[in-house]
Amino acid sequence: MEKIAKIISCKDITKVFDTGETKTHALRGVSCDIAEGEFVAIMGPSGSGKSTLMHVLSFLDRATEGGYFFRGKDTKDFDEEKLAFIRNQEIGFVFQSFNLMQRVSVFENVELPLLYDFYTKTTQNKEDKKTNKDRVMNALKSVSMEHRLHHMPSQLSGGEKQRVAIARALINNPKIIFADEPTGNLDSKSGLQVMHVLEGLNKQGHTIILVTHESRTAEHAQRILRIVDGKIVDDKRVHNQRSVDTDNILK
Amino acid sequence: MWSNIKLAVFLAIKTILRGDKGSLILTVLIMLVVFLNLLFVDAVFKGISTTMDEGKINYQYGEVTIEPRPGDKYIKNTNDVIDAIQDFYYVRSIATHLRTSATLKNDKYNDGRDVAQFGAGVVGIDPEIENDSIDLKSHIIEGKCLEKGDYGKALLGADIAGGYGSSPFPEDLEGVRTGDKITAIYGNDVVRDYEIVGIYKTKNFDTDSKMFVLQDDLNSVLGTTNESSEIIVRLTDKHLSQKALDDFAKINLSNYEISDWNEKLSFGATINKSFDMIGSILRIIGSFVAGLVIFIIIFVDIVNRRKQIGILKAIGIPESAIMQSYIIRGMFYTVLGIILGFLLMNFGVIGFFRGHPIDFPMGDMVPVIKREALRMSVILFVVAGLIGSLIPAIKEVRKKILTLMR
Repeated sequence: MEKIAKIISCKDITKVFDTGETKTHALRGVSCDIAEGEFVAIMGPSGSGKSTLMHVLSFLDRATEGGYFFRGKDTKDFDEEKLAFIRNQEIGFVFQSFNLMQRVSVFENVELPLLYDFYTKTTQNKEDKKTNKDRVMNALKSVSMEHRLHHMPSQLSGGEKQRVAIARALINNPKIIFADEPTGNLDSKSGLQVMHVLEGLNKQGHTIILVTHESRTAEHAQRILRIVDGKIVDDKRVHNQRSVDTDNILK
Repeated sequence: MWSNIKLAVFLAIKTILRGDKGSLILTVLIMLVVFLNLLFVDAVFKGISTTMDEGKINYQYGEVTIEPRPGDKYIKNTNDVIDAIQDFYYVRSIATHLRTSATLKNDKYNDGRDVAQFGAGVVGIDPEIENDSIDLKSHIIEGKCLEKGDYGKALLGADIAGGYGSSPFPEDLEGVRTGDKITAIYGNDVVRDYEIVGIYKTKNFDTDSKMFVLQDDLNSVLGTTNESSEIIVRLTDKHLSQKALDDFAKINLSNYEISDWNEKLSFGATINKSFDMIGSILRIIGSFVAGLVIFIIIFVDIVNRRKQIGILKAIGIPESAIMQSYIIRGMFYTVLGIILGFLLMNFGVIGFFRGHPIDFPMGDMVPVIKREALRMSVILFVVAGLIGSLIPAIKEVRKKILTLMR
């Protein structure tokens, strides 16, 4: 049997928010492994700790205690620069509130993660610029947003904004895409379009970690981690994995 | 930390270009005004001290003054001294003065009932060479300058004559005009009458409280020949005065007291020191204000863009690049403020005052920007801008991504 590499492995992760007066235990000893290429949904009610877990796993925040191994390496000693590099090169983010830069165009929003690579090189040439442009165009094509290239985020619908956010998440061809309630602010049709894009990305080999409180959305994943009060209470495979009916979303 | 500088420059440029143009103009305008203020106050102080210094040099001492040693009354063999120094390439002109004092009397109605008097310095000059050294000719406010052969005639300072504007002296000759006759009673009891041929005003009160007569006239009063009280040496550049002192020391002028304008300006030097001190304090305060302005601008900007900073950090733009981009922006405002402030000061404000000098009692004052003061102001301004942008950048950008994105 082929051994699938673990991309994420965490052991007894705890996260405590300490305001000085009160301590809130958001995660209470979470352990899980996620393999490369998996589509995992983290599900739970509001305040259960699902977003906190995603933040810790995606290096937006640090665990208070516990071990977190990313691609087999202990992340304890990763400094800020290293974490920024991982977020840039190996991780893509899709947020519920899209988090696009308001003052720059769709093209520039998608191009943003490329800048790190582009400007930290010793020299920048025209070829690199052209390659970057092609990559942005391809990313936008993959979410069917190439026609909105020069639009500003304020000129887009919610679903379009989220697709631009997905294009931005894809631009560096990351191993993992973290999607935090990506359909939460969208109407059902736009939500299905977004889930369709995520399904497609997973089929292309991207690991998708989806945070949601909706069972129907979670059922698009291959595996669901249920989290309650900061603990994983259930970890099960989805037997009847949902798939977006493309006919439906084209109507 | 600086490996991300190109990325930081890109982010800074984008933010400046995409930002609100009105805010940008306002910010640069504030920086311009703060820097202009910094330069202006200093330039006014420098202008006052320069006016005083130039007044002393141009109308009193020249760049180098040769005087008798203490105990000697006159420079003997004046012509020999002139011959010895006149060929140095930097010597522009030489004038000899014979000085004494006298009580001047103005019998207003020629009947002895109303006589105004004033104790004044009397200077004997050779009009043919005097104007190349002490330019009284262009400061005649009434009448004309002394000319060769004007025996029994005198040129009178406005502060003595009276009635020619403000004077630092409580008394004067109460309105002497061209053509009037005044009487000079010298210390050796010689009494001479002089017809006033002209009134001058240089605004250097030491000069404006003197009466100039022909040297031959004064020789006959004092019984001197080929002697002088001082030799005024004008140079092509005042900064060559030390070289002149060194050269003159080598040609055996040791019987005389030779000093340059620096030594003669001891009073002015004290004022200059005080002005420098006040200027430095104002410069520090101005720089502090500039730093504070930059701090507020960058801080407000960062607070308004917190979410964007969070997004940038989330997608892997290094913290250091974002911080540097804010520092670059702060520097952009600062440097633009400096350049525009300097241009406005140099070509606008000083240009205006060149056409319309400020009327100070010691002369017409034009603000002066000294290179050293400018360099110090620029350095302080840049440091203030750097600190002013660095503090909010470090304070805010280092916050957790989730805090920024909230």
